Amino acid sequence: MASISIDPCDNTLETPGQRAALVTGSNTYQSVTDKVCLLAEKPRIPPMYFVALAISVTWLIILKFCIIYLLTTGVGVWGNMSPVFWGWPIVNFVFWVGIGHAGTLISAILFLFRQNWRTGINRAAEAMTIFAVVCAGLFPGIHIGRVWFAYWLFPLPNTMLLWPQFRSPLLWDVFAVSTYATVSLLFWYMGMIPDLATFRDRATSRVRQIFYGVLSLGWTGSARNWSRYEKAYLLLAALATPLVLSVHTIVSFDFAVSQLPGWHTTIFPPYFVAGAVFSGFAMVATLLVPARVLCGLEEIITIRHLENMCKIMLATGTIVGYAYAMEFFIAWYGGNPYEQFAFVNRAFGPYWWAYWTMVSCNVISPQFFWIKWCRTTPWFMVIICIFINIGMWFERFVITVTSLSRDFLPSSWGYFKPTMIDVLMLIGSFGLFFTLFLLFCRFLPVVAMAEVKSVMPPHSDDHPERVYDQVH
Amino acid sequence: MTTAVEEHPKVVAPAPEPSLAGYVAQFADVPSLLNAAEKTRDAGFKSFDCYVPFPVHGIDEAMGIKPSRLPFIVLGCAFAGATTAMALQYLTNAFDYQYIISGKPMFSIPADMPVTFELSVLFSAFGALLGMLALNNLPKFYNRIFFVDPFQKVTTDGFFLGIECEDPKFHKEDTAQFLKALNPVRVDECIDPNASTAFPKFLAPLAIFLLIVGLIPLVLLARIRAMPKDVPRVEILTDMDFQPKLKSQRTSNMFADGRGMRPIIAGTLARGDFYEDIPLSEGLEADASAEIDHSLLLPNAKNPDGTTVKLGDFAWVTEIPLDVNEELMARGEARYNIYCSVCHGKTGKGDGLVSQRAMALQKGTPGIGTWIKPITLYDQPIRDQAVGQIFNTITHGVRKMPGYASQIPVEDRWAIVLYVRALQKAGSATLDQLPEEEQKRLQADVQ
Repeated sequence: MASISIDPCDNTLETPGQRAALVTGSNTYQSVTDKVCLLAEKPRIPPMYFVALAISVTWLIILKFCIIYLLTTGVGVWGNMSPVFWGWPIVNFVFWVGIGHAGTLISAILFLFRQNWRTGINRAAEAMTIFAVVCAGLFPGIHIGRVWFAYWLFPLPNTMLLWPQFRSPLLWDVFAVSTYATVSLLFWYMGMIPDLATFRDRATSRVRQIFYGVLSLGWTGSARNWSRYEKAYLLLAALATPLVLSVHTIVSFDFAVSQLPGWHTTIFPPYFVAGAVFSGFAMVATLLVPARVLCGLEEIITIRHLENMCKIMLATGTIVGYAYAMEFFIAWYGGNPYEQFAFVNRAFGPYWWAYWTMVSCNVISPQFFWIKWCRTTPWFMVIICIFINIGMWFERFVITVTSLSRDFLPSSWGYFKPTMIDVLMLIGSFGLFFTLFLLFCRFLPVVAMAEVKSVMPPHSDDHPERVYDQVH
Repeated sequence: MTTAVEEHPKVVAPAPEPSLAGYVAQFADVPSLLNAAEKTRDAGFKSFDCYVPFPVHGIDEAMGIKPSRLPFIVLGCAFAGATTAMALQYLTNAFDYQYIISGKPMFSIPADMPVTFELSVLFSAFGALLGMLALNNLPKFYNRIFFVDPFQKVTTDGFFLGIECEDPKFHKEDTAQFLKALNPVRVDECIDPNASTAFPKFLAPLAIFLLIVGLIPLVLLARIRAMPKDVPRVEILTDMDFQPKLKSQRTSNMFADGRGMRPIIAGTLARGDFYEDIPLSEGLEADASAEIDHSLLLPNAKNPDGTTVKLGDFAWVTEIPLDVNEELMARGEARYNIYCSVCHGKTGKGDGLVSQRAMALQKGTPGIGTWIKPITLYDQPIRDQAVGQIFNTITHGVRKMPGYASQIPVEDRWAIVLYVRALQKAGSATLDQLPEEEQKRLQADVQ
C-alpha cells in the first residue's frame, strides 16, 4: 500500500482539526532569536548583501543628482508640459503611497482579525510602509518647484497673513500622508521596542549596547509593561485601520473631486484602496522572497506566509479588475458623452499600450494564483509580483495622463513624453527604497521576535487557560 | 560609623553601597511562571513583577493586574485632535482668511471632515505610544534588575519573577525561601549597586561651551545681515529676482548687433503706433498736426481759455487721401450700413432705428432722456466741413456719438467719409441734376 509522505516543513497542507504551524522546523525561542539576529550580528555579511546594497546606493546617488539638477534648473527638466502638468512625479507619488498600504494592512487590519500568520512578516512589511512613504513624500515635495517653500503646505502663521485652503483635497492629502507617515512610524517603532531590547541584551560591543539600549528605552519585559503595551498596540491597530483606508481614499480625492472626465467618479476611493493593498502585497512578496533567504528566515517566513499573501493578491487583483470593468459600465450607463469618450480614449486612444499593459499585468497575472503551485513557488511568485507592480504603476499613469492629455478643447490636446530625468528619478526612487530596506535588514530586527514567539508552540497549541488550570 | 553619618548628614554623604533590592527567580516555562505568579499574588505581595520575552496570555489575571487607563487617555487625545482640527479650520478659513471656494460655505463641515479625522488619529496615536511609555515609566535606562546576571535572557527565552525589597511583606530570608518553594530554575539576589544616576559633572559645562561655540556662526551671520554693505548681498535662494530675460535698452549677445531691443521688421507697424502718413491717419495736414494739441480734437474739447474749440478752424485735409473709385465707394456703403446707419439712418437723415426708439421713449417724459437726434448728414454745416473733419468725427466722435477708431480701420473710415459725401450729394440734389432717364422715371412715379 502506497503511503503518502508529508514533508513536516510543508505547512501549506490543510489538516482538518489542526492549525498549521506558523514556524516550521524544530525551533525554540532561543533559535528564533538567533535566526532573526543573524544578519544584524553576523561578523561576516553575505557578499550578496553588499552587491544589492551597492546597486541600490548607486541608484540612490543618481536620484540625488537628479534632484540637485531639478532644484537648480527647475521642473522643466521633467516631461510635464501643457496640458499634462501632473506627469510622472504624481504617478510615482500615488504608486509609492499605495505600496505602503500593505504594511499597515498586515500590521493593523490582520491584527484586528486575529490573523496570527501576520507575525512573521509584519515587521518587514511595516518597514516597507515607512520606506515607501518616504519615496512617496519625495515626489510631491520636489514637484512644488521651489522646494524651500515646502512648509507653505502646512497651516503656519506667516507674514503674508495667508492660510491654506481647507476645502481642497490637495490639502487633505498633506494631512493624510503626513499623519500616515507619522502613525506608521510610531506603530513600527513601538512594535520594535521589545525586539530592540533583545538586540541590546545580546550586544557584544559597548557601542551596540548603548545604541540599542537607547532605542529600546529600558524595556524589561515586565508583565505590567506588556499589559499596557498590548493595550496600546491594540489601540494603534484600531487607529491605523481606518487611517490606512482614509489615506488612499484621500489620495483618490485628488482626482475624484476634480471635474475631469475619467477622474470624477465615486468608484475611486474603494478602487484606489484595493489597488493599493494589491500593489503593496506584491511589493512585500518581492522583498520578502529574497530577504528570507538572505537572512536565513525560511522557517519563520514560511511558504504558507507567502501563499497567504498570494491569496490576498488574487482577491484584491480581482477587485481591481472588477473596478476597471465597472468604470466602463458606469461611463456607458451614465450617458455622459465626455466620460464615455475618456474611457474609449483610454483603451483605444493614443495610450492604448499603457492601458492594455495595465489590464494584462493587474487583471490577468494574479489569476495564476488560483493554482497552488504558483502560490507556493517563490521564484514564480516574484515574477508575477513584479508584473503586478509594473501594472499598478501603469494604472496610475493611465489615470493621470490619459485624462489630462485630453483637455476640454481639442486644440489643447497633447501627448505626454517623459524625459530621461523622469525615468532616472523613478528608478532612483527604487534605489532609495531598497537602500533603506537593506539597511533595515542589517541593523534592525527584521521579524517581530516577541510576536512570533507568542504564536509558537507550545504557547499557541496549548490553550493558556487550560495550562493554567492544570497548574492549579 | 552609622551614628557619625546621622550626626553630620549634610557634611558626609553616604558612599553608594550596593544593597539588596529584591529577589529574581527564573522559571523554565510559561505554566510554572503563571503558577508562581498566582502564588505570589495570593501570598499578598504587591511590589512584584513577572518578566517575559513575549506577552503571556493569562498573566494579567494570575498577577492581578488591573485594566489600564490607557484607552481613556487615547480617547481624550482623539477629542483634542478633533477639536484642534475644527478650531484650526474655523479660525483660518472661516474667520481670519475667508475666501469663497466653489460657492461652498466658509465653514463647511463635510469638507472639514478629512483633516478632522486625520488629526484625531494623529493625536490618538501619539497618546497611545507616549501614554503607554509614561504609564510604564519608560524610558528608564538605569534599572537595577539589569544587574541580575541571567536577566539578559528575558528578551530571548527567560521567564522571571521578581519581588522587590520595597514590598511591606519582603523579608530577606523568608522571601528567598518562598521563591525557592515555587519550583524555579534558579533564584538570584538583585543587588542594586546604587550607582549614581546623575549626569557626569563635566557634561553641563561642556554642553554650555558647545552651545556657545555652536551659536558663533549664527551670530556672525546675523551681524553680517544687520550691517550695511557696499556690494549686493549674497542671496542663497534668488527665486525669480534675477531672470535671464531681455529688457528694453539693454545689450544682449544673443543678436549680431548686440542690441537687446529688436528693430521693427520692414513693412510692419506696431499696434498703437502712429501712422507715418498724418493726413491719412488724422485727417489733418501734417504741418498743422505737428503744431496742435491733439486733445483738442476730442469731442466737447475746450481751449485753454475755456472757450469751445472750433474744429472747423483747423487745417483739415480737403481731399480723400486714398484712390477714390467704385470699390472704395462700395466698401464705404457697406461699412456705413453696418456701423452708422443704426443711428444716422440709411439715407443719413438721422432716423436710424436706435434714434427712433430713443426718441419714442423720451417722448412721454420730457426732460428724462438725454438722447440727441443725430444731425442730418446733408445739412449745410456738414456739407461745408472738410473731409478731414468728418474723418476726425468718425475717429473721435462728437456729442453723444462715440469714437469709432477702435472698431473701424483708418482706410474704412475714409471709405465711410466718401460714402457720406455721396449721401450729402444725393440728399441735396435737385431734379435737373439727375440723368435724363432718371428724371423721366421719377416724374412717371409722381404722376
